[in-house]
Amino acid sequence: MAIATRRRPFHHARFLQPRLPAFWLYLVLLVSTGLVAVAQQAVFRDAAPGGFALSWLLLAIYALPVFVLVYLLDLYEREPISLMVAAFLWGAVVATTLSAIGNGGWGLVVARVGGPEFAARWTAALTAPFVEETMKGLGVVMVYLIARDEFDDVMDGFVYGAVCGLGFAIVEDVVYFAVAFGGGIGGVLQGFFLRVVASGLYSHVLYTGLVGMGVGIVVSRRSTESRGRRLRRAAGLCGVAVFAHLLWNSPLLDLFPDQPWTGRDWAVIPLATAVKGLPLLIFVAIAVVLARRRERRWLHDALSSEVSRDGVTPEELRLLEAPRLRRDARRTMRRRAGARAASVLRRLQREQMNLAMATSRAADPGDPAVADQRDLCRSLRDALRAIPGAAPAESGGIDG
Amino acid sequence: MNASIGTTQPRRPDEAVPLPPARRWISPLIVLLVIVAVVAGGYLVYGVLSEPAGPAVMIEGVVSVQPLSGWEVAGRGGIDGHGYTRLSRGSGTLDVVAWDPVADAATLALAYRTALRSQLSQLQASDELQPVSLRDGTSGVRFRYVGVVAGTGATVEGQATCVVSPGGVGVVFDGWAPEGMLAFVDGDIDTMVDRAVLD
Repeated sequence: MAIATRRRPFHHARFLQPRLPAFWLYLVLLVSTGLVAVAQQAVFRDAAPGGFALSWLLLAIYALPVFVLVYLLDLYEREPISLMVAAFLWGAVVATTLSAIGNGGWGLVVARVGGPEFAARWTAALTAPFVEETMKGLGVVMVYLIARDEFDDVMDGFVYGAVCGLGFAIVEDVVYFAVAFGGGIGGVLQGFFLRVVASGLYSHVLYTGLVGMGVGIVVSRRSTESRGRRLRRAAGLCGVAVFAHLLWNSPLLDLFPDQPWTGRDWAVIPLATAVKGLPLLIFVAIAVVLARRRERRWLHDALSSEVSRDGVTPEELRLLEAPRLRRDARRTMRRRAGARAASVLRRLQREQMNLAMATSRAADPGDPAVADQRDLCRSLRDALRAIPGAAPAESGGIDG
Repeated sequence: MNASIGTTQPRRPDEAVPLPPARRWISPLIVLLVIVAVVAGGYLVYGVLSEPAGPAVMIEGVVSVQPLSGWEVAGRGGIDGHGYTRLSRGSGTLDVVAWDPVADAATLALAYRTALRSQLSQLQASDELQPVSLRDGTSGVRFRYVGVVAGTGATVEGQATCVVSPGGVGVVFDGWAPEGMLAFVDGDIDTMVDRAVLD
């Protein structure tokens, strides 16, 4: 059918941008820190091969669903996988390596100023939140500099930030399993329970997600908010992330049982981590819900004018605004008219999202690119209606 | 007629406005500067804060050590018949030991490790001797150890830096602290050892 091939897919920025200095800076930093990171991992592998393999296996089981979850959080315009992988690698390789060096230097300052006893209690709290959030946040900034087109809203910043934080958390966990928990099978299992099962919901994914939201506010709301307001809001989000990280690393609210841990202690540990981490999780959940509501309003505003121009029908717009209804419509279509019809409907929904992107950025609804996109949506709808069983009057997502 | 017609594609509405080539460099350079500031800043600030405080301490006429602020002379004593001066800050300690004349730093390290066995039970010392060089060019070796203080049962960790003075006398800088605390004093210890002056 002609609709699938007559027009190349709507624009998505790629990671490979050899004309941009930011791309080359990213590559240089990734390669140079990668050499250090690989050497460090080799040391862990040689010291305890079984524990090392188990570490990566367990962390992969944790990381994969979190990566997918974060990817799916952006309801209306999924981010390119290549850019998400770039953010992940920055967190896993560049941010961890540079943070280790930076933390060492600022740790010396804390010890110099406060003395060894103070430093033993407070170094982790007074260094890592500032150094690590900066390094991870710069990963989001680098993704933006490489692919400015992809930062349309706060949720985009959250997605890249959370993935960057996930990469950081994974490599940091491997280091902790090897160094702090001994690297053996038993130590790795202990470390996994403490740092992932009991704490995995509260850590770097949330911190850097917030920082990413701050970056998203600064770069995506230029036309609607003053620079001062954007910077204040971004600083607020980054401040919450740093404070939450500081609180997590500090001796305050420390309800952990004394070591060595015995049977009942293992039940207390998740409660101890929840006391420090749950408030942040709730804060981030609210921030994400608000950001998604904002995206939904944006989608409605962007496509409302297209209803009269036939880019989208009122029923299609209603379904587009609710991801669950969107999925239900595709399922219904599959039952009613088969897999091909469901596939065309999926394509129609995606192109209507792209139409929303185009209308929100074009000053004139008659912009040739908007008109072209509108035509594509029309042709997809026509193609769908031509499939037997795909066009009932009342339901299925292609009313008309 | 625009000369570029036919050679450039019109910009789609979902594409960001491209930056002029010169401006493309500014943001990455700022990112690079922030990275350098955060990664190297701590070491620079530490260097500024590590100024000597008070007069230098001379040990057995062989070596003088300049305490950093917060460090003070906590006493003098002997280990295995050799005199030392103890500097301390909180739970961190630096014992500067004037040894006998020795052939080289590695021999001194072996001798000092033996002396430590009389002080600490369950002593575990690193087999590898790490080469070090002081600021004045004196070369030496360093090893780390963990042991339990006889009598108290407290576990301590330390690092002993062994050098030989120009006059052939062995000098040991033994920095130690309760287990887990050495990481918070070894920066100061390294700085004072590095700046020691051997006679």
